[in-house]
Amino acid sequence: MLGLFKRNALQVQDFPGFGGFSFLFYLYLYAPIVVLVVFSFNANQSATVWTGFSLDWYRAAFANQALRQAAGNSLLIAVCASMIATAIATLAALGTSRGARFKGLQLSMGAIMLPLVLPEIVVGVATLALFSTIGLSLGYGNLIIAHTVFCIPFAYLPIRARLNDMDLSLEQASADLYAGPWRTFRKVTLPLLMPGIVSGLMLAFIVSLDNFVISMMVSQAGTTTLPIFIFGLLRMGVTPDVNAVSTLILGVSVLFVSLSYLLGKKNT
Amino acid sequence: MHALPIANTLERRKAFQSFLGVSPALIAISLFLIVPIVIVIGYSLMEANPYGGVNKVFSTEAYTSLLFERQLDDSLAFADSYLLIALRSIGIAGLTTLITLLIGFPVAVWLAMQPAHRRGLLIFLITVPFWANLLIRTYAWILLLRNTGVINNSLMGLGVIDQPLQLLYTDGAVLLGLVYTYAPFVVLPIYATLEKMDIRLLEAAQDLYAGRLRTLRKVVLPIAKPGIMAGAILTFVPCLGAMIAPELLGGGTRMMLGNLIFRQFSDARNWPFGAALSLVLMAAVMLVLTVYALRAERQRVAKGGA
Amino acid sequence: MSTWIKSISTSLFLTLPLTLVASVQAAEKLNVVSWSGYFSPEILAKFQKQSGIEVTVDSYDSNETLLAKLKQGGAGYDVAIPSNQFIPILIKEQLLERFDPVNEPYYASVVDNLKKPTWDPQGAYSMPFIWGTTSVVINAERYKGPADSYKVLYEPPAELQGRINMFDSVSEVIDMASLYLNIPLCTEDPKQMQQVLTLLKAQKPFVKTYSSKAGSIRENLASGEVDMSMFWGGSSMRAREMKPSLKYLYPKEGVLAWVDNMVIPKGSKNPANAKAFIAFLSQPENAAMTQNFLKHQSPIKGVEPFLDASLKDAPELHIPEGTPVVFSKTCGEGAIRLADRLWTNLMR
Repeated sequence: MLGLFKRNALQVQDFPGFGGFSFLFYLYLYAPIVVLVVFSFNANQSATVWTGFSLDWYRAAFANQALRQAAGNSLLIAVCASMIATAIATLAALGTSRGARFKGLQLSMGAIMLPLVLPEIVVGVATLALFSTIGLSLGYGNLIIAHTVFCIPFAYLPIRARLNDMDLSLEQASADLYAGPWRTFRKVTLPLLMPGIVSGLMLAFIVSLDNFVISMMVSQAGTTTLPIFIFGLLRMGVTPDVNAVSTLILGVSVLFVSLSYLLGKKNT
Repeated sequence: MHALPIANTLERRKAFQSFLGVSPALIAISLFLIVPIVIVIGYSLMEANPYGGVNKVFSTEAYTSLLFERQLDDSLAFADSYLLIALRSIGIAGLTTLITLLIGFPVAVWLAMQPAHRRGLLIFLITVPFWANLLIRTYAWILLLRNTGVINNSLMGLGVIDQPLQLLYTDGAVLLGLVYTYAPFVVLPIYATLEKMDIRLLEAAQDLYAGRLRTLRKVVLPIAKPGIMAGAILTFVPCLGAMIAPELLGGGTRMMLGNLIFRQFSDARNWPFGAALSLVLMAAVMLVLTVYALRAERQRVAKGGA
Repeated sequence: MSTWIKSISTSLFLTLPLTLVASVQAAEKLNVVSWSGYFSPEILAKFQKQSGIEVTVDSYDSNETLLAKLKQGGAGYDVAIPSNQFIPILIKEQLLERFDPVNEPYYASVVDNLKKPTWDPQGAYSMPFIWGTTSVVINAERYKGPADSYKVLYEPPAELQGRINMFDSVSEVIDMASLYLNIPLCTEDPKQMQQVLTLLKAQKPFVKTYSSKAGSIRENLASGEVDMSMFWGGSSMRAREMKPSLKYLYPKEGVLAWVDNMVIPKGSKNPANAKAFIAFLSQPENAAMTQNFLKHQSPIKGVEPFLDASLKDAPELHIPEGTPVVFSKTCGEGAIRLADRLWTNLMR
């Protein structure tokens, strides 16, 4: 691991001290995570005094029905929201990057990015205001709608980046070979675009899964999401089952991201 | 500025198709974000119901409350309460941005200078914590910072101190948590601009006898500038409305705008005031973004764009 | 190979959430919202086993938050557990379903002074769940001086300064200050509230955290992060089990008393399940489980045989002779507005 930070003979691109500093930075990034994982195996009730190795808290976490429910809710909402958001974002990306310029293009792009640039609390307040005014009370539906909206820009960005990077010549070649526009889209554009779409989907999924502020403001009875559940656990104080639950979630996220990273590597 | 009319039917059809493509996104966002914001404006001009929600009565009480406080005896006095919180939020957001930039820049530079095969892995390692739940990561700082936490226990165990240091529930703790939240948002954009930098520029600088510091200032920094600006915006704007770090690490005594707004919709039961605050926050954000966009546009035109 | 991985991951992606959700969707449901940590996993499991109803529990730390949640509308809770002083407000705002517990067989086992109480004279909307006192808990190891008055809380000695927690809820903080200053609860007199504000503002520099999160306060007391806090009797006892030097005070000005009651919010989607849950919790055996867990006082007669031995002599449950016990009152709109104004002024 440390080999990553070692430098060989001083080359033109080496700035002294930056390597050491970066090492400290990585330490800073990972310190809380390491502590979390380590103490989730603590045999003791207290969360920070180590007494021995134990899997008790993990057993409790798996047995915890409320946790399973919250996890299931979060996953369900994330899957739906990310899929819908990605579909909408793909259309939008194609519209803004491929098609001809139409009046209000810049404005549209600004509007699409709006949920990304507004602070979460503002988006949360606005969504709550809307649902409250029209009295919308669909349980999961409310959250899915709220999540889809702020996931759109997250899905949009990688797709658009991919579109811009894509070589137009392949599509032109397809047109030269008398393939209709729909055929070209299906057989050439879409497959080439797929890595971008998958990227967008993953990003939207993680963003939805992780969301706390907006979900907190909008959630209704029985649709507790994982972050809200964790916040509820934190109310109980610092206890090892929070550590265990957190580590589990961490593990799943890391697994997921690693998977998408590896898949991404294989594709390019 | 007056564009040529789209004479070509094919072009017009393509423009229409583009518009069609963008429309689901626009509809979703107008319906679920823009219309709600209008509703929020409406709420801010209504009267608060003492038990929560709004009474549909016109009232500018929410906006008066921003600057003036109704004293207990019903008189109005200039109140710096919320101004203080707003200024504190801006201050903390600004400080956080500064610190993340100072920390993130060297890391980004170092990353960009790594051999290509290592870079992918290193970037991946930076993004991994980002994918873990923010609540959890911030909570983990409680484990580290509390009086019986890891840091204090280690320091006491090593005999460096004999009373625990008060680390948690301080301004420093909140700052630490915020910097932690936004660090990747700074490192990655700066890295992105530097990645494309031609190494030969550095070689040329070396050939001209420029020291490392000078090279950094005169060669690397200008190239990194767009990334720095992007990173600054990506940190400052969300940080203004940050809620999690101040809530968990601040102990309820260090409110920032995000917590203040959230409270209005829970315990404080003052929706109009919460709405007014949200609008103020939104206006501040729009201001910053517009300034940024104008500068970016000016730079783009200066570089010879069209 | 990568296509293989891709197909597996895609199918997992699509089916995992559905299976997780489906596995917990099958049963009858009940959505409860209560003070955080009020239900032990054991009691929920027992209920589920007995009735087949699955309970989800959301939480709050102050009555004000609950009020906001219920007023927000469409929250969809079936059971909530507000404190007595908020019940008249909830009734007035038409936020409760009338389910007439007074006519149910289990009502007979309610202790007499809580039957048809002032906040619910017909016994139509609420059923007592648990009651207790609010006072101050102090770490006797750190502070060995006199502790017979709230003065130690509001004018803390040097060793306690900066190590205090105050509640994060308007009504409780103001009520306790009113008790100390000998001001009537729910006053609408601005001059009296100004006294309260001055007192709290003077104390604020010595307060480390403002929090009503019971579990968090217990943890902080046990770890020494906080050495004095406003606290409830039963919670204080639970904290004492983690740190024996903690003492629950009975100041001469008196202690506040509260009664938490089970209610069915309007718009409940599972009222039958709610009634079943309330009936279940009101059985002496289960009420004893609740008391054993929370260590507050039970409003149900006949719990004694089922109680843990440690509760019998607990100082937190035995109010000394002569200590005034002041039940919280429902404040009028004027008092609530005044209180809110005080709070924003304090909480800058």
